[in-house]
Amino acid sequence: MSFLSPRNRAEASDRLAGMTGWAAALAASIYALKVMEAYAGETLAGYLDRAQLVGGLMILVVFLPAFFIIKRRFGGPPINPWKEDGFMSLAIQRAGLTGFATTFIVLTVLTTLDRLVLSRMAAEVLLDLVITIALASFAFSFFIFSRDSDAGEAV
Amino acid sequence: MSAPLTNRLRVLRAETGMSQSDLAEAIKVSRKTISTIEVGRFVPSTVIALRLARHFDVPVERVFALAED
Repeated sequence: MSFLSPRNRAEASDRLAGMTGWAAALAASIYALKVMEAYAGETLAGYLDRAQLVGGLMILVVFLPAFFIIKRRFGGPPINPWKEDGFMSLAIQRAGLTGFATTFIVLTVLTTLDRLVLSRMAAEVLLDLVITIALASFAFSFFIFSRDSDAGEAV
Repeated sequence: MSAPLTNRLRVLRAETGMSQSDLAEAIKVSRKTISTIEVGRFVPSTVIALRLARHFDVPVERVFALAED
């Protein structure tokens, strides 16, 4: 049973949920580098730009094809980890809610800090920062919720 | 994800000599779902609970019970 050929739809759904978490973490890192780039010197900004390119390519070349292959692996309706019935599906749903709530709170706080923060940041950087927080909170809470207290394959 | 719910899944599985993977395959869930139900980390949906009871051919109350019962 290789990574791209799970045993059944339930295992495939778990795998897709895990990949969604890792892809979100990678995307959050890319956006975080974009925010850092806005405040970095010219040399460092060049490195950060290249790192973003590598991360973006990883999502396009590694995650997207693997996601598509697993999603369509068993024919029938595509597997959707958000709608399946299981532990990892619940973890991804809860992470989605946490990500939304965190982003909402951050945006609300930012609106009250308009003179301190908003007036000093370019709109583009601020948007990248909010996207970073949304993706990072989703990925982080997913990893927390999906921690496995697995006792192993005991009979 | 923890809840005041106990279960006898590990016992029933041992009685029938099934591994977590076998049981997962039989009721169409992942092995991780079975293992997290067993340790009380995941409270399964009614559908999964009923499938488990039907698989072991016992009433659902023989598989799951409220902790205070």
